[in-house]
Amino acid sequence: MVRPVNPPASWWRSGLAVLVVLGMLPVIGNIFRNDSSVSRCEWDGQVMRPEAAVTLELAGRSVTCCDVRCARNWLASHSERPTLIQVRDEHGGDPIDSADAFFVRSAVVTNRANGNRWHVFGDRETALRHARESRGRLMRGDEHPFAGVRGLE
Amino acid sequence: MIVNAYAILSLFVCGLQCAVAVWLTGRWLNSRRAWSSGWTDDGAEVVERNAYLMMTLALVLLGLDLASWPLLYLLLQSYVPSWPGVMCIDGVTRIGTGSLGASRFLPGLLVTLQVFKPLVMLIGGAWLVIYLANRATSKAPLMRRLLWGLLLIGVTSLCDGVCTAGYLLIPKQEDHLAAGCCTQVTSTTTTRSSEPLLAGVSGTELTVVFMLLWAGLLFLLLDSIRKQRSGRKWMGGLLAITLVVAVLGGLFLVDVLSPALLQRPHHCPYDLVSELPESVIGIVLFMAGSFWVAAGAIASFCADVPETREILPGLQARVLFLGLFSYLGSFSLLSVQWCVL
Repeated sequence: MVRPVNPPASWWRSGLAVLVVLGMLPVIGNIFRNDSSVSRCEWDGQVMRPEAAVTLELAGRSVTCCDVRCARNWLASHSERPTLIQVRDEHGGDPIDSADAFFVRSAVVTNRANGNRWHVFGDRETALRHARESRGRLMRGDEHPFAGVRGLE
Repeated sequence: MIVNAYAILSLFVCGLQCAVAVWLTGRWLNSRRAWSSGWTDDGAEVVERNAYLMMTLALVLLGLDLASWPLLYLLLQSYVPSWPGVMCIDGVTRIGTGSLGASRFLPGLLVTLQVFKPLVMLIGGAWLVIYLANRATSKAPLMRRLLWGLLLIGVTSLCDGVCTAGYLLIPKQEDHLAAGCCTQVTSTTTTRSSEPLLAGVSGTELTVVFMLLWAGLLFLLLDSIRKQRSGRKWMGGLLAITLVVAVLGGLFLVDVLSPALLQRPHHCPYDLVSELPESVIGIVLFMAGSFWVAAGAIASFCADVPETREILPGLQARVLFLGLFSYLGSFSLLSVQWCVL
């Protein structure tokens, strides 16, 4: 006795067609998302403001975080040490090597989501003025946000 | 209550859900009175009259439950900008932790909701299979079981609706003890789920174990469909493997898949809702696959009577087919997503 095919053959064909469509969804999604226009922080995935971005240059790749706090968190959870940390001046957004930048920790929060209070300046005068006006302090020496990063020493 | 479009829509849906669930439970109690006083002609007529209404109500209720599930996550996503330290749904789920006011119930209510919603779907799926088996017979031998199933659907949906209403209406204001020498204010909302769920197991080990078990389950499903296996032992084994695969699938999602798809070190699957919405379809298909297989297996225990023995293997094969293709769809979508990124 021949056992009836159950479910019918048409179900199998439809199922295979559905699988093909499902397999195409991520490709279509990627095309429509157009991710190249939006860059996200590699620590918490927030959409980045270019003027606050911090770039960590590692061996063969670079990691971009949305601000100093995220960059510090990234470094704390990874063993890789960067050869260069590039930050951006809060006034104008010019890229600066973190060793040459002036960091102020003040009462002004720049990022509501992660509570970042680190401010980056290219010149000492502006940094000191911000520190005075916003109940902050210039962070130097051991207090430098990337002081413990061995790759830079 | 935080009022936005999703909150109003959720409140409307949960109001409808509660109303239909109360109606269904009321009709059930009415029928119960009739059949507990013996199967008299009048009693049988009352049960028959109520049965069609109750089954229609159950289908409406299952539809509402299904709609309320994605709505819950859209609601939580819409709440993200309401607190300064919250970055995603994960942060919203922690609002109220350690609070002294009514908001301390919020995390518990969310956990309860995330248990009730799949539970209602599982009960609903199993009920639907039993309903289809019963409909194919001439004497409706599974009517009593179906009626008990209706009560389960009604009560679970009512609990789900009440929890949703509670979550929506409780003020989302956190009241903490003031910090002093013996107290410490802990901010739970700014932290993120950066730790994997299985601390001692590497991602590779988890992936290998999960993939092997999943592949084994798919092979068993294919075998069950082609040979129309429907014995209780076989289906019980299938149900047990499905449960293990479902649990491992959840761990795999948190520990391996979401960090890989999102390309960041956090173990937060909620971010997929806003950043890679198509991957949510893959997760939903995986859950649907588990529900179909579980529903088909439960039918072996609840719908196996002499009148249904002829039709049950074929019906189960079709249900397992849906499970198999849901799993395959999930695998196809998520693996392509992984490769594309």
